[in-house]
Amino acid sequence: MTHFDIDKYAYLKSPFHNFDPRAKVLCFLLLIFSIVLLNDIRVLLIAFISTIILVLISKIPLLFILKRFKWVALFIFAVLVVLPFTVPGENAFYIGFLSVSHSGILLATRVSLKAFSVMLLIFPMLSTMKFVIFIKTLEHFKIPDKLVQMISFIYRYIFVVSNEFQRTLRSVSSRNVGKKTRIFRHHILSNIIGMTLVRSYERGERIRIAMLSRGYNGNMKTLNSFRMTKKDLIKCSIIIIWSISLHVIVLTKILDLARVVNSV
Amino acid sequence: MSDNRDIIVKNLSYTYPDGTPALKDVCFEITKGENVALVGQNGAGKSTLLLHLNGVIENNNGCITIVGKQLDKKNVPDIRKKVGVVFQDPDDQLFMSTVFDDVAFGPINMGFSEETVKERVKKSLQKVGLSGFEERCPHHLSFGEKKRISVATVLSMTPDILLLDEPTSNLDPGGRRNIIETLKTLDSTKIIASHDIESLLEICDNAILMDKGRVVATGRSEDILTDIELLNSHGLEAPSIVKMLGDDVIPLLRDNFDSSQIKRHEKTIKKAISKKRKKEIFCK
Repeated sequence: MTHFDIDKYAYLKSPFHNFDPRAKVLCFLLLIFSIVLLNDIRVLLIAFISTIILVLISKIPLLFILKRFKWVALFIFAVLVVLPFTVPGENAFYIGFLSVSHSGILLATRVSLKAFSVMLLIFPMLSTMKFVIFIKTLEHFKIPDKLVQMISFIYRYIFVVSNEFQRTLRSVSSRNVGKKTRIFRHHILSNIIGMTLVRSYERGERIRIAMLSRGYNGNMKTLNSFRMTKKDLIKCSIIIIWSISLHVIVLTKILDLARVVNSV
Repeated sequence: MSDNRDIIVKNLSYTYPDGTPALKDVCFEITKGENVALVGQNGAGKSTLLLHLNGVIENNNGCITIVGKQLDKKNVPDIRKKVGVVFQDPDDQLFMSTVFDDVAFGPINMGFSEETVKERVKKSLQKVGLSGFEERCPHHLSFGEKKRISVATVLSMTPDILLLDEPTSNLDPGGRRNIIETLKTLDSTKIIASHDIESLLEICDNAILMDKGRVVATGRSEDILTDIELLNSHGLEAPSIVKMLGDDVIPLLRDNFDSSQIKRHEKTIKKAISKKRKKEIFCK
């Protein structure tokens, strides 16, 4: 049976892998918000390059990232194509009878840089820890218990349900359904999906009984062994300072100053 | 009456919401430390009965007393601390993301301190021979390991009574042996619902035979579980050794071997029979 490789790179060794999960999530979220709030395209470019450096430090293979990136890239590509033609502003050039605006190009570039940076940051944040640890981190941050329980159950049972689905599919293909018409195949597939849902429901009932018999009262508590070390504090400080620095660059107009100095 | 009765069930009847009768006038008593085999064909009501004993199924038709406390809404939380249930499918039992969290689930809900919980998890995993599995995810375990972890999830609550639904089903011979040996080391009162008559003969002192929701026979497991006629009449089958020798040979074999030895020496006994030494055994 195939399993999703959700924790595949959680066991590597990098400064992010041994980073306290709570601190890691908080710092990366701060960095993400910091980048999202940027408007200066040059600072955004700097942020994007720094994001790539963070990904490289995390040692997560680029191929793994690119594979997961393709669907997001498709969405961003659509934005990149549409915005230059739709945002009103000074014309930059014409493609046939369509005019491309300066502000459209700038906005599309800004949106793309922000989106790519944020997506890239998700990898050193989440792929460097086991998903179980991420769930515990959410629990630690007092995210609503029901939501954490739902995420936890999805993670636990997605493998079980997927295995059940694969078993049924195999059983169907072993009885040579492939030779039938397309409509018949769709009919069979919908039956399999239906059966998987019914089985999941029944399993849910049995799990509820198992939980009740072990004293479940609606809240699911777990123990965790999170510990902040000096190294974690240093890593935290670096990311926080960098997040703030991006805005300091914008506010102090350092880049404009450099251009003025160069022109002089 | 002495107070060493852990379970008293009187006139328990239950009908499923769809109208299917599941239990009819079930009565039995189980004393402290007793190991009881619960046998019966599919749909006989074994699992339903086990769920009643833990208070998972609420039912007012009958009376259940667990370790001196009558099972009612008020007492259910206390009774669940005393009665641990190990379900047939370990994927139903292991619902947390790691083995540690699963084994710790019961003790945390019982309100123990962090240190106590950790200690209980450690001890329970030791008991089932799976120390060091704390950080493993259930979906990465073998079926046999999942079964043993399922037992550990209940052991961590140190229940007085252990209810096991088909503990040896779907296991390979090695996994089955592991579970049997683990169960033999546990002191608590046990009710084991199973079709694996041979393992029940090895673990249990007494047996309850159920059919169509009724208790049809109770007694020593060596008497009930080797009675070919009785078992056949209720859709069950005696172990191969009993069928081969005939049920009248068991009392005589019992004088020389205990039930686990009978199973272990099955080959030797067969050999002895084939060499026409049956008479010698009987004479002895």
